[in-house]
Amino acid sequence: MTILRLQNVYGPGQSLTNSYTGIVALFSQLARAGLPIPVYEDGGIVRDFVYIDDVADAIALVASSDREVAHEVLDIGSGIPTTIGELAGVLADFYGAPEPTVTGKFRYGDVRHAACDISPTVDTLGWTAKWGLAQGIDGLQRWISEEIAHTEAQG
Amino acid sequence: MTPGPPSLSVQTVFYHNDQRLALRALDAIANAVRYARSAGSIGDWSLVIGDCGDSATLDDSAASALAAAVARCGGEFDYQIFGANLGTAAGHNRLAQRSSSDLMLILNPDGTVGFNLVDVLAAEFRSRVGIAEARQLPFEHPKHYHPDTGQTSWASTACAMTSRSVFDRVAGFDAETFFLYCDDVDYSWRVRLAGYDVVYQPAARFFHDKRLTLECEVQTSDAEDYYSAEAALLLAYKYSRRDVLTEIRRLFGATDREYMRRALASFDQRVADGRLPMQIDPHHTVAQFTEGGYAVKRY
Repeated sequence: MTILRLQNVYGPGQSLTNSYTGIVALFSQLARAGLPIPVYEDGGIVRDFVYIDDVADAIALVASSDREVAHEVLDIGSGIPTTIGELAGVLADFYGAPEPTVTGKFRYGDVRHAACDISPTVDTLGWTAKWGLAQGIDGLQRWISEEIAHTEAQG
Repeated sequence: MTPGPPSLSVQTVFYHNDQRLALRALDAIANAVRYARSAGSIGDWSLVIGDCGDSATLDDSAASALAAAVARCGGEFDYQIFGANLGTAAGHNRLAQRSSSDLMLILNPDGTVGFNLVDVLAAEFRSRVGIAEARQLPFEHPKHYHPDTGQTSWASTACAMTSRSVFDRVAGFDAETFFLYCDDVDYSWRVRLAGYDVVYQPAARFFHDKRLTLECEVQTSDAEDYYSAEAALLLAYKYSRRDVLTEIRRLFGATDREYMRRALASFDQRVADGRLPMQIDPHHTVAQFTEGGYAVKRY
């Protein structure tokens, strides 16, 4: 049995409205609208953002593998810890939006650090994350533009 | 306590910890202190670290960066290299002497505090509360606590706050008797014997890196196995439970588990050397010895 622990997955196909699963998409829409992105705490909350194509590759690799495994747990992430402040900055730069605003607000239940070491996964599966954050952000924005254009075309 | 928000010292003891993980834990502490200070629940604060390792957990660069981070949150930073493995009881006693804060947050370096932990625990120090314990996650301790008051048998200093006055009144941890493990059980029971409450506050969250096996059993280290076994004998003796001590001796004498036999040999050596603690709680008013623990369990 192989258990894959997915980190913060983002990319084409994700919800554009659910704030609990789509912080990248949520921030993207704020920046796209030219609004400053509000960042909680001091902007130092850490997450691992992994692009959907990398996750799909990992799942396909495990599902098609004929390895004999009693039990294993593998982290699927980019392997690069990113602060929420850094993410907001990348998105603001992408759209030329104002600098993100550090609000100092806190949200109950938020974990300060949630990232992973993917080296055991790389060693075990021969898989690695191919999408960097900047490339992934670009991919997501193109999909969001298409989604919005499609919605508008439908009236 | 002094007028205004109480002062706080946050103290932890290193022993060959991973620097990256330690810095991550300490960043979360600074974050929680920032929140508590903004809420007005604590005033001056310090981060006091003792290092029991043969080599320092923090290199000079990391220590300087940490000192700067603490200063940005209005605190003072103190990093003591002990030069010997003092254990947690003696280590925390020594760190306690390095500050005079009203409150002390004692915690392990292998966990991460939630942002509101300091604020929530500090609020517990109404009259007669001596220790307030955080909830550990993901493996929550199953001990019983009063649903309204939070009163409980003992508090784990994996993450707990205590008042300076109570700590001083009971003379801190019993480092002569306990090295690792159960120093907090003993401290809690002496605090209760002194007339103070030990309370559990589940709204304060501490993400402790404790893992379960596939069979849902807690994974323990060799040190935890041995020192917990040694402490079981010493607690039973110290809290005047001849019946419990006799039963543990019988079990440890009959087992093939090496660490239990070694713990029994250590106890017998203390008996021979006359190094046993003074017996207290003769009427069994605070100490609870239950199967596999020191509190009635709620599940």
